[in-house]
Amino acid sequence: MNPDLLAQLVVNGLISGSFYALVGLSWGLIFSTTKIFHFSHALTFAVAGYGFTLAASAGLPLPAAAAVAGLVGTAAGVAEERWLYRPLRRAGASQLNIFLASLGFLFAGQSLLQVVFGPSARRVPGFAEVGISLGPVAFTNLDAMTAAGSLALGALTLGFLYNSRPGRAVRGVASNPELARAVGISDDAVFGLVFALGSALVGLSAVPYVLKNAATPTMGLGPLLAGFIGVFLGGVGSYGGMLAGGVILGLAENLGGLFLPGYWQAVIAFVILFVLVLVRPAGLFGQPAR
Amino acid sequence: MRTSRSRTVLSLFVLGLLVMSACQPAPGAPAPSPGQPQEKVLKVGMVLAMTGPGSFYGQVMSRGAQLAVDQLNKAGGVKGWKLQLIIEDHKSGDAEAGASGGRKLMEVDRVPVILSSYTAPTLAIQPIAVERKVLLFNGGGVGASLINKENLYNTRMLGSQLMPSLVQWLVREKGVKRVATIFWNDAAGRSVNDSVKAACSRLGCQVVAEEPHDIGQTSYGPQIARIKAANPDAVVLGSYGNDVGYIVNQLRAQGVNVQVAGNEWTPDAQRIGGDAPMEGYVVVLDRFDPTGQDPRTREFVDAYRAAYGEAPEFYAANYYDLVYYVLRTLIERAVDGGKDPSQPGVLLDLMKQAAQSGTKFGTVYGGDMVISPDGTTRKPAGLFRVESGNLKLFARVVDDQVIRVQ
Repeated sequence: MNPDLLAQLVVNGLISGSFYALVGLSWGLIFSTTKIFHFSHALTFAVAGYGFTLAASAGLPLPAAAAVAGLVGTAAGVAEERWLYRPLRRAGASQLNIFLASLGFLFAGQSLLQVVFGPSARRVPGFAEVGISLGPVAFTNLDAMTAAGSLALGALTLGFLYNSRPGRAVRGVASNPELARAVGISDDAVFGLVFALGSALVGLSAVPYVLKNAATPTMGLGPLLAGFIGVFLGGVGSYGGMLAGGVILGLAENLGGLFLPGYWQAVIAFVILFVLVLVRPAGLFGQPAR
Repeated sequence: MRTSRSRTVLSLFVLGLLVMSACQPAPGAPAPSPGQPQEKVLKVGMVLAMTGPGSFYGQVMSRGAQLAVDQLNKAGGVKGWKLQLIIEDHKSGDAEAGASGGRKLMEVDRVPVILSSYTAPTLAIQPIAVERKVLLFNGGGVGASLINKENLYNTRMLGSQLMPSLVQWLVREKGVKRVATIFWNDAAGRSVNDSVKAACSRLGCQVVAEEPHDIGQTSYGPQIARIKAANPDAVVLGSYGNDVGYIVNQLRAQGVNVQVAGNEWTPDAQRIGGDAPMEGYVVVLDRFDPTGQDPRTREFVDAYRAAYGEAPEFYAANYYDLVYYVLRTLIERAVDGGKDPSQPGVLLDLMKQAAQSGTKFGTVYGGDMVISPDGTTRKPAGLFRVESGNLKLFARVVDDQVIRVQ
C-alpha cells in the first residue's frame, strides 16, 4: 500500500465527508422531524448558491455574502414548507404524494433557475484558493475552511438541539409527535423551525461549494444524494450519527480509491447504503425501533 | 330553459372556435396570401443538451443553428424553402432521451435531417435514422465510434484525430515521458484515452495512470489522488464540458502542478476551474478563431454578437456551418435536380454524393470544409493555451504535425 496515497485519500475523505455531514444534518433534521422526504432541499442549496454569488458579485464581503446565502436558504425552505408541504399535509396527502410534489418542485425550480440565470456557470469573482502542503498531502485554504466550518456548524446545531427549549421541542416532535402535541407543542411551529434551521444550514453549505466550483442550476443534486446517504448511514434518529455518517461516507468513498478505480465512488456509496439497510436499518448510531 | 339556451350558445361558441382553429395553418407553416404560391417549409430536427449539466452546449449550438435559419429565411429561404428548427432534449448525454427525441422528430415531425450532439445520443439516434432514411449530423460529439456509421456525418474533428498531435507536442516540446489520463467513462472518453495510449506508444511516452469517471461528476478526490501517486509529467483529459473545470481546479488543489492538456475548453469550464488553476491549460481543438479576418468568419461573428451580445465559440460555429453552408448546399442541389428536399432520403443521398465527390463546403473557420465518406471532417486545427482566462493559439496542426506560430 502506498502510504502517500493513503494519507491524501484520508484528507480528501475528511474534507468531502465534513461537507456531506453538514448537508446531511440539514436534510436529516427536516426528515427526522417532519417525515417529509424533502428532495427539493437540492433546490434550496442551489437558490442559496445563486444568492451567495449575486451578493458577492455585487461587492459584498464574502462573510456578508455567506450570511445572505444562509438567509436566502432559510427563506426558500420556509416558503416551501408554508406553501408546498403544509397545504398537502392538511389535504391528507400521502408521503408518496408529498415526495412526488417535492421532486416535481425541484425539477421545475431548476428549470426556472436556468431561465432566469441562464445555463452558464456563475463563479464568485475575486476569490483565490491558496494551496497548503503538509508532506505528501496537499489541500487548500478553502478545503480547510470547509472542514472546520462544517464541523463547527454541526456542533452548534447539536448544542442548540440538546441545550435549548426550542431544540428540545424539535427532538420531542421527532421522537413522539403525539406526546409532543399533548403537552402543547405546535406541529406547525416546529416544522417551520426545522425547515428554517435545515435550510439555513444547507444555504451555508452552498458557500464553499460555490467558491470551489460555481453556481449552476443543477448543483444541488449531488450534495443532497451524498448527504442523505450519510443520514441513513449514521441513523435518522441520531443527530450526531447523521454528522458521523457523512464523514464515514466521505472516507469510504475516497479510501475505496486504494483498491478500486475512482469512478467506483458512487457505487461504493450505494453499496454501503444497501448493506446497511439490510444489516442495520436504523443506521450505525440510530436506535432500532422496539 | 334558460340553462338549455346557455348551453346551446356555449356549444356553438366552442364549435366556432374549433372550426376557426381547424382553419389555422399548422405551426411553422406560414399562411399563403392570395395570389402567392404556397410557402414551402423544411423542418430541421435538433437533439441537443437543452437541460442538465451540459445545457450550455444546447444553448450555443441552437443559437448557431437559429442564426443561420434566421439569415436564410430573411433572404427568402433556400430556393423558396423556408427552414424551421424543431429542438428536442437529450438531457446532457442521455442516450435513451436522445433516441426518444430523435424518434419523435422522425415519426411525428417527419424531419429529413437531424443535427445531434454528444456521442451516446448520436449513436442512439443513428440506427433509427438509417431505418427512416434521415440524414444525421453531429457537430459536438468526439467519440471514435462515430466514424463509419451509415447516414452519420461529423463536422467536429474527433478526439482520435486530434489527440495524437497533442501527445506529440507534450513529448517533443515539453519532454514528457509519463502521462496520466482522466476521461469520461463512455465511448467518447474511452476513445480519447485509447488514442492517447496509441500515440504514447508510438512517440515513446508511458501512460502511468488511467482514471475514468462518470459524466457530470463534480468531485474527483480518489482519481486525482491516484494520479498524484503515479507521479506523472503531464495529465491529459478526455473529459468535456464543466468537468474540465472541476478536474483542473481539483488537480491544482491537490498539488498536481504538472502540464494539464485536453480536447475541450468552454467559457463555463473556465469559470468553474478558476483563472489561476486554468492558467497554462493546453487544449487541441478545431481552430475556430472569432478574431479571424476571413470574411465568412467576420460576417458570422458580427451577426452572432448582434443577436446574442457575445462572441461565438466553436460549438456555435459548427452548427451555424451545418445549416448555413452544408444544408443550404444540399437543399439547393435537391431543388436544382427537381427533387423535394423534405422527402426522406433526398438530402441523405445528396450528402453521400457530396462526400464521395469531395465537395467543398464553406465554413466560418475560414477556407473550406470537406466531409469524408467515413463521416469525418478535416478543418484547421490548433493548440491553444489559456492565458489570463482566454484561449491563445500557439501552434497549428497541419497534416498531423504541430507547427508553432509564436
